[in-house]
Amino acid sequence: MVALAVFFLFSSEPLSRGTQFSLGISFILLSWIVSKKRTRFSHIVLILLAGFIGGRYFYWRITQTIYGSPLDLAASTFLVLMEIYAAVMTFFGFFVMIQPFRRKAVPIKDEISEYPSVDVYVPVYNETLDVIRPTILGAFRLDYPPSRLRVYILDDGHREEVHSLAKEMRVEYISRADNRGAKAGNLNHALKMTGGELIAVFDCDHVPLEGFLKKTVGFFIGRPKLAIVQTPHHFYSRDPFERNLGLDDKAPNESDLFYHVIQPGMDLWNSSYFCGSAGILRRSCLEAVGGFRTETVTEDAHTSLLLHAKGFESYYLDEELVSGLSPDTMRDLINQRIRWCRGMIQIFRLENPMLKKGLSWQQKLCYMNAIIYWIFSLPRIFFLIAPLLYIYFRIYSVHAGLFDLLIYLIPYLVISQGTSVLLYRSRRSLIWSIIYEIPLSFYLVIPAFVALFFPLRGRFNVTPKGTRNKTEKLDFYVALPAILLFLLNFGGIVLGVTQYVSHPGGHNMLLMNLFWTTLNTLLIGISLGAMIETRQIRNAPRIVTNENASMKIVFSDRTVHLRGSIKDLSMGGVSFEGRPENGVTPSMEAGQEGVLTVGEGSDFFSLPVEIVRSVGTNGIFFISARFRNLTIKQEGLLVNLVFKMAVRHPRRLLPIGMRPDRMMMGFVRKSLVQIQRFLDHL
Amino acid sequence: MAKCRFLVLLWCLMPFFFPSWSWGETISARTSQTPLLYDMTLGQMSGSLVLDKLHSYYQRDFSISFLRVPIEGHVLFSYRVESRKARPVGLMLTMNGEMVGKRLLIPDGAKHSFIMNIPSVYFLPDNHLGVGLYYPGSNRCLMPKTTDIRVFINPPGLISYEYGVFPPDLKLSRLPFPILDRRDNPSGEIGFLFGRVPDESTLRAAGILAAWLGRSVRFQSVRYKVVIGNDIPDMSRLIVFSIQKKTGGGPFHPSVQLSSSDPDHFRLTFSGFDGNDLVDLVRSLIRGREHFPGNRMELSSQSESTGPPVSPPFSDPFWVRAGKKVHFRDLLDTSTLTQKGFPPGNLNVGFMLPPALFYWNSPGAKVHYQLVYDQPWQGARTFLRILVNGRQIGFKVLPGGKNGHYKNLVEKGDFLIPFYDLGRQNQIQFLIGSEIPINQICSVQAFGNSFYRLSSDSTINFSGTGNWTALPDLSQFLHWGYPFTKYADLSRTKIVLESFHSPAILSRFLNLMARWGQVTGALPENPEIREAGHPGPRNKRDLLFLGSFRSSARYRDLFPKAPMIWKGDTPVPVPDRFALLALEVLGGDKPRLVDSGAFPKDPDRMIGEYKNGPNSRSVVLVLSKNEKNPPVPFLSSLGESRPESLDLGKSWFWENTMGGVVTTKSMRVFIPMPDGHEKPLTLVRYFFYQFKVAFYLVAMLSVFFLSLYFDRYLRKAVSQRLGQTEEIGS
Repeated sequence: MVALAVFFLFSSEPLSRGTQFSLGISFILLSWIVSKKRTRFSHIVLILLAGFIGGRYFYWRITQTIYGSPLDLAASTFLVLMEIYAAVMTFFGFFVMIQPFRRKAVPIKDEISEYPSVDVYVPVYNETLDVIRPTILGAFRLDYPPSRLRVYILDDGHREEVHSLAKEMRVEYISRADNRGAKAGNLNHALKMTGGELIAVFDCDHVPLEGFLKKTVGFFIGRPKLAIVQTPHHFYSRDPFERNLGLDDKAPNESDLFYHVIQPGMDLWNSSYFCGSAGILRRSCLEAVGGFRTETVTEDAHTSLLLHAKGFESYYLDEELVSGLSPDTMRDLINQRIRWCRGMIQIFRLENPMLKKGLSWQQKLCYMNAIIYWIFSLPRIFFLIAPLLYIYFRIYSVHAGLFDLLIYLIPYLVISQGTSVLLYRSRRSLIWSIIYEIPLSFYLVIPAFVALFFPLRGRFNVTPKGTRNKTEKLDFYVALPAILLFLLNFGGIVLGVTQYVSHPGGHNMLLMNLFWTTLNTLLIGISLGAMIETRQIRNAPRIVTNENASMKIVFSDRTVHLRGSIKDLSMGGVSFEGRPENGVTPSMEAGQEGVLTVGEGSDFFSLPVEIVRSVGTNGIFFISARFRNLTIKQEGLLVNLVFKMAVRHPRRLLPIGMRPDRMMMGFVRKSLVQIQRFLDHL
Repeated sequence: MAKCRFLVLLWCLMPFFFPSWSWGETISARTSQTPLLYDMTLGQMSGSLVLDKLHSYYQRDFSISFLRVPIEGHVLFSYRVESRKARPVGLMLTMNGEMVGKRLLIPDGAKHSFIMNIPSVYFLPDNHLGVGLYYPGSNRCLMPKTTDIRVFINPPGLISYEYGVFPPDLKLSRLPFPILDRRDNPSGEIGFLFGRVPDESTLRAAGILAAWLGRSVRFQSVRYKVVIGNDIPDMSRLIVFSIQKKTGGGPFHPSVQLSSSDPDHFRLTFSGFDGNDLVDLVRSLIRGREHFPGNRMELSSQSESTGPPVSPPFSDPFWVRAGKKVHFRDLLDTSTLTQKGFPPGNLNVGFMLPPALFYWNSPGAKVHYQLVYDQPWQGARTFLRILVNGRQIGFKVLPGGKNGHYKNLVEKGDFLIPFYDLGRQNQIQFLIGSEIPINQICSVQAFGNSFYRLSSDSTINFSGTGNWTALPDLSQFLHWGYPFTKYADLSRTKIVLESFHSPAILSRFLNLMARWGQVTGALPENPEIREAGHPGPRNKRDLLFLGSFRSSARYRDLFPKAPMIWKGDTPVPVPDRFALLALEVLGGDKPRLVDSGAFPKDPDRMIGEYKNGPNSRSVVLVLSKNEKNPPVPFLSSLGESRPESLDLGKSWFWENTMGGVVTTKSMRVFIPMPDGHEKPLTLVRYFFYQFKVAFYLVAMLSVFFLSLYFDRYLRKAVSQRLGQTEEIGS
């Protein structure tokens, strides 16, 4: 209570401009000093500093800057509401991210009788076989006593080829008469038909590594209330942003923050939830809540909420044990996110975590954080158009002098966003957060509000995987809203500069809105680049690696051994670089057969290859080869190898504390490049 | 000829209007002159006036006493017209919204005279004269693309009028007229004759009367000149307080009489046996004069008026109640909020604020106004200027009419009056003006029928302010307020005068009382008035000391623990508690401990206010160099020089005048003490407002302790979670 009183006092204390300015500077300096120490205590201090200075900003904003004509009033009220939303999200995020809980896998004893029985479900619908096959192979190769493990393909597509695949892989096949309840219905149907104590679920494109079960099952032993163990989704293919913007490994994947910071943070509060794949659940707990929920299109989170409300627990193991495919195109990504958005808001409407009995207040906060995130679309769009209201129509969305606005806003922004960056732990940057949100926001507004008011509408749409694109092209219809907004903002810049030049003097508000518009234009520019789909012709994504290996090329008269390393690898082929032993310089042609051997000592395996291309320079050979005539066992070995490498492949983490000027220059440069790319495609 | 006929007619009708006038009286015409070019704000003649396309008119307000009957007036001035292209231009004169006349000017660049008669029918007691440019044409005027015509009117110009003076009907019921006629030389002095050295009761009576007279004029100054003795001074307005000895002769009752020896001299005489009689007379006169048909009132021996009960704080009639929104209709007679004609007179809103207006966290008072106006002619750009206490704080171009609708246009708006600009007496002036637009065809409407009205629903918002202040705070003196008491009847004030024998001191006292009546509308019924040599028993009343530097030194026992020492005769405040403590420890005056370099050398006047503790009394010292200084309006120098630093609540103020130049300096002496009532939370916030270091420290400590708490909470959560698993890393 005392703290609240002090907070209120601090927020509402009227200060002169000079005092507010010095207060802001001192807070920023203090935050900078505290941020040097990367401890939990220092992070808490930063959060509180952000809270206090944010309190001052919002008190001033609400009491001093909302007035004027009806239009001004409407615009400024709306903008304040959006700012409050952003602040709520920021502080909810702080709560979730402040203390990630890092677990280590619990080993199981060697007694087989101790091993719980595990059913592995791989639900499929309309995915191609080359997407499904590696997953089945991976599941088949899971390191677990075969007598305690069963793998099931749950085919809602009722396809014969899938049935044949199951037979080939010697796994179980389950299909049902209808598709009611979509994926959740499919899983529930399988629940009735199977009997394992634990259920591991993998999406058809999520390939589990061998050690998945050994590392996750151990948690369940001796913990009857443990319902879920979730692991991160690793993506071995690039998402549309990474691919279309040419980021590759220069930035963390968009989902890294969720799987490596937020989920571990939620684990502290027993709130980490099942994400639909790469997780393992206890059957008895599922049955206690009536199985997987079918009312919403995010059955995973919905089921988890009910499990938590029932008093069951969930754990999160932050180890990448499953690797899957990202959506291939922006359109696919948008569809996926629409489903998630709709599903989470449906959960809010149907279960309302704030009122749900059985959840602790921490769990409520965590779930609300996950849910209200999906309303970001409206604030994001409004932030992109707010400055244009002034430039085009002289509607004030902030009724304040520029100096006043800066002395209140800048300290809050600097401290709160700086704290966010620290808590992101290099898994995300602020600018990239905005860039990810921009293309999605246009398409999430309506589904969000439809779900809010009509929660039972909408259906489950499967995210396509494995799409190919033969040429680089702009997806014009998907990009259309962004294009319109870009033009509006660009027009705003032109108009604003004209206004400034033609009416000199007293243009602080105009300058501020011009700056904001310019920033928005650059951000939208980068997003436009993300909507230019790059060429994708490979059947399977390639994993860049540097694994030691050897290759044996069989000639008619001799065999040449090359020792070197794998440069990249996929399910279809390999790039190898090596030197021949004994200094021999063979002449290799396409079609030559060989054997690729990976591993060392007794732990190795070999895979037959056929050379596609070979280039030798200074005694070093660069060989591209495809795999051929692999047995199922060999295929399984290859799957394990590919996805182990995929998981092991290091992603670049973002540096914390990059110089702002360099960051800004890099951002501007990227934006201009993407805008140029976009214009080239028009 | 017409003039003679008029005079004769008037002479014939006089007895009907002025019964006391006799046929034998002769009416002699007199002439009064007032400068045309005059700055009302500064109260002095202004320089040349230039009329051009942007500033095309000038307005002048002046008053005429009821005693004067205007016969004829004139406006005279010299002018010259400068213009590269000769084109016809003229001047028009309006008076109180009516067109008096138009005349073409001679645009040759040479100096010419302009004379225009103003018939008597145009005159009113309060007059609004307008002088404006016009471009001759029929009813339409075509503006040149660029008009560079400039008309220079040389100072001072003259407004003169002939008038007849008729002795007024002397009735007590018409008081304060003619003793105080705000239209007749408002800055003139009123004489106050005491037949002998007054005592406390007499001075109380004089103070009540002085305040009452001050109250009746509100925004104009009232000055008194005291004379002690039996010689009647030659002053046009005189109040006499006479103490009669009780004799065995015929019955004598205390009385008050209004008399006049000639049309220019009026006298109000109070006669009684002692000061209490005078108090009774004054009270009876003020309260009951409407019932007296004649010019004399007597008190029967049994009649005894009793004083009103002690008033609660902030109870005076004029003070606006803080903490809420006030409508214009609550402040004044709303009929004054309408003006007509062009240029129209100002729309004035006056109000008084109490001294303890606590506005530390509000930037000012927000005013919302609704103005209904006519556009004087099609195409005219009408604008609104808003002045507060003479300082312009707002300017707005009013939207013009469209589609033939130029009447009853409505404009609503808001503006903020910084509290800096507000004082005890305040006036908001709404000035309507209009400029002739260039490049437009204009049609001249008939003058006199353009109306401007402020809605009485307009508001001034004093929310967020309370009646609480931190004393000492000399900024309360700003805008001529009386500083430190919230009791309208001065019931908590002890006024100590250096000497009852000093006319200068007594004059200052009466001026103070007049000012008190002006700013509060209350009468000082209950102060304690003492002579410094006989201060009476010590009590808890606040102390106001009027005297000279020397007397302050002589009577320093009246202000124990005052933060001052005397260097020679000049009091010097001790700047801080440490120096004061040092003085107390070391004992006696130690001039070297006090750095007098901070203070002006040889000040003429000094005002200081201090308070030793929250429950102690306030002490205000108003000291002049010597008692023989001519009495000036109390604190008038503050109104003229407006020392900016007073806004920070300083508690000592010096002034010296050298060669007509007034320099002032002020400084804070001690930490201010609270006076009044405010919510505890407000006081806490005010404390943090004043002591920002404390504010920062409390915030930082809160952050620190909260961080410790949350860190502990998280650590506990982690260990609880740890307890549920086997091997955990964090």
